[in-house]
Amino acid sequence: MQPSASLTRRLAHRIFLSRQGRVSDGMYAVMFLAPVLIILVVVIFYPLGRVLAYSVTNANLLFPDRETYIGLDNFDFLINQDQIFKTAVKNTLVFTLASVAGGFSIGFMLALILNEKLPLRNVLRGVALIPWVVPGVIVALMTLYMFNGEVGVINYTLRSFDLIDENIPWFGSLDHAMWAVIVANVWNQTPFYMLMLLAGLQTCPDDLMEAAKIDGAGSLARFRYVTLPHLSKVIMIITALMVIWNFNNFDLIWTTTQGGPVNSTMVLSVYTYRQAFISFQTGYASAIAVLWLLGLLAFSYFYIRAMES
Amino acid sequence: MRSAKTLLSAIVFLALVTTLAVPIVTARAQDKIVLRFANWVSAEEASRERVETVIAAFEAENPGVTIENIPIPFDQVRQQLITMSAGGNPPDIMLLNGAWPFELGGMGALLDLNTVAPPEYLADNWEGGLGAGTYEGKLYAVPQGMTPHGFWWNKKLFEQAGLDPESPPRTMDELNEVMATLKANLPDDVYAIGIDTSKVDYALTGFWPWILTTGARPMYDGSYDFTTPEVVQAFDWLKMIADEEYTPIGQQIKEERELMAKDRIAMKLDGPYFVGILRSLNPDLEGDAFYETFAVTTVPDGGNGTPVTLADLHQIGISAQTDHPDVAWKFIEFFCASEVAVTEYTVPMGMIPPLKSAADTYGDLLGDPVSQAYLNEILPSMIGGPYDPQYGAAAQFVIQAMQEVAVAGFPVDASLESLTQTLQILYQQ
Repeated sequence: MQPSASLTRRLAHRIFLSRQGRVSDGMYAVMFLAPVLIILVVVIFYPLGRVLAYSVTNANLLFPDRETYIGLDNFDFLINQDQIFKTAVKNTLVFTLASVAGGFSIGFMLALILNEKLPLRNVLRGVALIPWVVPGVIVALMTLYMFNGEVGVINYTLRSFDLIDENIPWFGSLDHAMWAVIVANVWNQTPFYMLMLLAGLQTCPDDLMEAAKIDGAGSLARFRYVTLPHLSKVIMIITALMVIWNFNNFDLIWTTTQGGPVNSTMVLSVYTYRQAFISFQTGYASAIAVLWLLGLLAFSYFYIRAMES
Repeated sequence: MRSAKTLLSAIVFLALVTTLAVPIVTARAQDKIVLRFANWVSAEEASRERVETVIAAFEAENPGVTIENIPIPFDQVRQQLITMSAGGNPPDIMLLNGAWPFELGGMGALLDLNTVAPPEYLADNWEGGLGAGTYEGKLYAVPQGMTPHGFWWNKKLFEQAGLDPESPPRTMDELNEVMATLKANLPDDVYAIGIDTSKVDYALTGFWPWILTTGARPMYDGSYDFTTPEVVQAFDWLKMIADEEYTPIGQQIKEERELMAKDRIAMKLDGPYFVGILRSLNPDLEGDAFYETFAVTTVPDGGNGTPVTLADLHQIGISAQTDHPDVAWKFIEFFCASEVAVTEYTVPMGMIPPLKSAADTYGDLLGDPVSQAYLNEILPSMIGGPYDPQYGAAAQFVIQAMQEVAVAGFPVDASLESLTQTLQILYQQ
């Protein structure tokens, strides 16, 4: 049944105008939310919809006339035949977990140290933040030169201390390339963990600590039963955030190795970029992006539920 | 309260209008023709001012035309041009390289220059120069600067190793002997040869001459067979120089150039602009000191019968969507062959002018040993690349095979067999 014209008019009146003919609160809500909603639709939901639509086609920018609907063929090939995709998934997990574990551990230690009453504590806190403010591409270029197999300072230092006999071609070695980029990534991200955990530590109530001390708790026990529970929310947020960020990390690996040698540092972001902007296989790249998005959504859901419980 | 709400309403309305409204572009009368010229040479410090000088000279000669310069870093040009063209917003004129004319031409984004270029201009080009921009009978790009890779060697390192500094290797067998001698007689941190074994696209561009010199022509004329004896020979050689540590592993071309400038690599392939690059990396090479240290010749013959190299050129093309193809061609001709362009840009940047007649016209500028080697030996040896619209995707797999062989130590036969199968699947799609 079609709503009558008068009903439509009454509904519109109800939403937008009050009985006195003024602009209603509903109208204000719509007006205030509209800019954000429109921007969200334009920059997030529309591209997302396009990616979903492309993922079931063989779209290729170089052959725009040949685009056809191919159902789930891209996903079938990705999951069952594409060995590089499997390597990229594995490498992404290694890169992400190692980066988060390394950055979190070192950042936590730094936060605990810098939470103590040290001389020049504020200066040290500022110095510790420097790696975080360096842009990712600059970090990548620094890494490229520091780990250069021929003229890099890492090999020079290791040789100076007789730790190696021959130069290691860090980015030309299947065994070392991934660890070189992880080390650079950890160096870059550690200050973020430190900063967030330090902020959390500073809100830890002194009376709770003193009560624990009076009850005879040692420093380890205080850390285990007072500090850690107090920081649990901060830890949950920063680790979830950094897992997602590292899953999406592109600039460091692209600038240093472009995914090589022989795909040993190929992660999902680099593989997607290669498919989309080197091979221009837009449909296939979109399928990778869809699986990637689903993976991250699943992770976020289960991780947050696990942490809450 | 009411006035506050009214004020807020006005702010929200203004914000919506100013931030979200689609700009209304009104047509305005234009006296001038504006041509957009996308290139990477304006994005590079060394050549920016020289390019602008040429553009200014063209605009002075053609008061009704404005060239809008669009600088794009070299490693982003391909992506930008393809996406701009696919999006219906291409520049009118594009500086091109390698397989780009084939990819852009194949997607219908470039004009067939046979429709605008005078036949006498085309006839004055080097053999192989036009072939590097021709796909399915259509000429999508003409050479702007001749920059094929020649074989460079360090004469001082040769002498230091007990070799004749004036006698570069002419065959692959001679090259192998020279590499062994250099390795035996030079310090450990000096490499005999520089081959880019990284994952960057240019690694394959640099390796093509080593494939071609064996007589192999994979990917030419629809053949994607990398298992022929000639291709296997080329990849066996790559594996050998990696295993023997004749070349540094995992170094990109830029890093190898730095090593060559510091006497840490004795031989490598590079373009004629290598003169300027080496001088910028090592100021001691200014003037004749350069020619006392470095020289260039053709790629050693590995069974091809005659020297051969890849026509890796600076090329230039016109968008199929331009409204002014004749004016665009006029600019191209000026940018490639005018006196201002040749004397202020092409030759100073270390490139050889694209027309054969330039060797006579600008003979006094091209009398140095490097230019003479290019004019007399290297340019006649160049052939177009194995390019087609799928080349960009295919090249990723060839580079992977190179890395498997040189870096990971995979067996050559297995890598090339896998590569051939992958390429056949790719080209069947």
